[in-house]
Amino acid sequence: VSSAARVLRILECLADHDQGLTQAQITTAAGLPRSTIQYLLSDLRELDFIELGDRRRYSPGPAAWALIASMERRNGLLAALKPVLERVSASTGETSILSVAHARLDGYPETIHIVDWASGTHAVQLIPTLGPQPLGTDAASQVFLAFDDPERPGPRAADLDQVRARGWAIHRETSEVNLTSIAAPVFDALGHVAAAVTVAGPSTRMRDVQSTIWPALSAALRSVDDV
Amino acid sequence: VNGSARVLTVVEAIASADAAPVRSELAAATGLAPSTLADIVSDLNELGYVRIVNHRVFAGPALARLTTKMSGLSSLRSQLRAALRDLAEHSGETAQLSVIGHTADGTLPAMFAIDGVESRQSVRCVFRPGDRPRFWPSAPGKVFLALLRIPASRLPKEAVEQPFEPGAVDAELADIRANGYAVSKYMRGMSAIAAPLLNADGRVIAAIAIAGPDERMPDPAAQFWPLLKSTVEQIRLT
Repeated sequence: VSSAARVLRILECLADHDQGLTQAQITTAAGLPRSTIQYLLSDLRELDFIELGDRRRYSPGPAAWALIASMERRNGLLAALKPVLERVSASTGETSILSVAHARLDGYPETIHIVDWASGTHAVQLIPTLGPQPLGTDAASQVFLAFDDPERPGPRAADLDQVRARGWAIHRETSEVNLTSIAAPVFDALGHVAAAVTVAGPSTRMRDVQSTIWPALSAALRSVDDV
Repeated sequence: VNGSARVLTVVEAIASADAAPVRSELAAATGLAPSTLADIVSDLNELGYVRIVNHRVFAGPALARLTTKMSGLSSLRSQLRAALRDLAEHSGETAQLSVIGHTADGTLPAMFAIDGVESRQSVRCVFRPGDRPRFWPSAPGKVFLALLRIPASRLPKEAVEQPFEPGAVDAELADIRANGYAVSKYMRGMSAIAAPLLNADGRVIAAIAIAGPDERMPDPAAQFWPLLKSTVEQIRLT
């Protein structure tokens, strides 16, 4: 077990308990030897990552709160769009998904990352996996490609023009299950695509997306004021 | 430096970087040897705490999950978050929350900036989570010194900026206790006003501050004390 695994395991245990944990409870929850826990707690306390409060209970300390603030700051997009996802899922009943194209750093998007999602209301619904996936033909990828820099070298599929004109992309997946998804862009202050919001569900429920799903999605996206 | 410190330094550097760094940038930012850093990044990658795309190290889903869960732990935090947002909104300047870390041996503990909401103006005071400013002459630092009754003569050299005259400092700390707020002016072009948050026992647990450029804050107390005072009074500490 790496040093990283041990120290993060302790923070994870504390994150799961809002009343704080005693050393004995952490030992049980983390499944690590008592002596290991003892020195890790002492290290973490020295680093102000945890603090010792009432009734000998440990809870996250100032350095942990600073880490949270850092993550929230970099995830300002996540925070701003969380309510949008929830609104979209509530009004459409389908899963809504937030993706960003990370590799913008070296020019053009090559990978998209699913960074957040909100659950729909149906018993059968898509449960996305958070994390990277290659830029492909799915609706979110189409959005990134369509609204990306028009000067981008290489061939551009004709239907990306349609995506740009209409403001949203659609994809029908038939390989595994019949899944239909539509996606629309969220622009930053400079007019670049900051993220894509996708609504996805079984094709049987996603027949007339233009008149059912798209109005709900576009209404929710219009409420995003400042990303 | 122990293993936990190295791991957490790397995690903090990744979380606070403006753009996802490559390994050499991370090594420079953390001061770790490239081989040590590579091992830690690889461990973190295996745990889902980072994701490596095109050689760049991104914060991973496990890190997002950990910090999201932790931020949900405390209702105090969400209450204070709302207060910071209000302060930033109404003052037009940056609002920030600082706490002090533990003290191992009775010496002066460290002060941390743990949360903040930045002004929307283009020239503004920047909030850097995890920043550990000196106690003197920062406004939140003065609040802690005043309320914890730490005399100027006991302040270690690292905790203060020069010039520093203990007699004048003690007089100002007494004023801060009497007024309920502390002001700092002309710190690298920044002025600020800070007030303490007290728990039910009257112990100071945090300092909340409004900070902005000198030009917009000629008289921090006259401009912002009423706003800061009413905000602090509305915070219910449990």
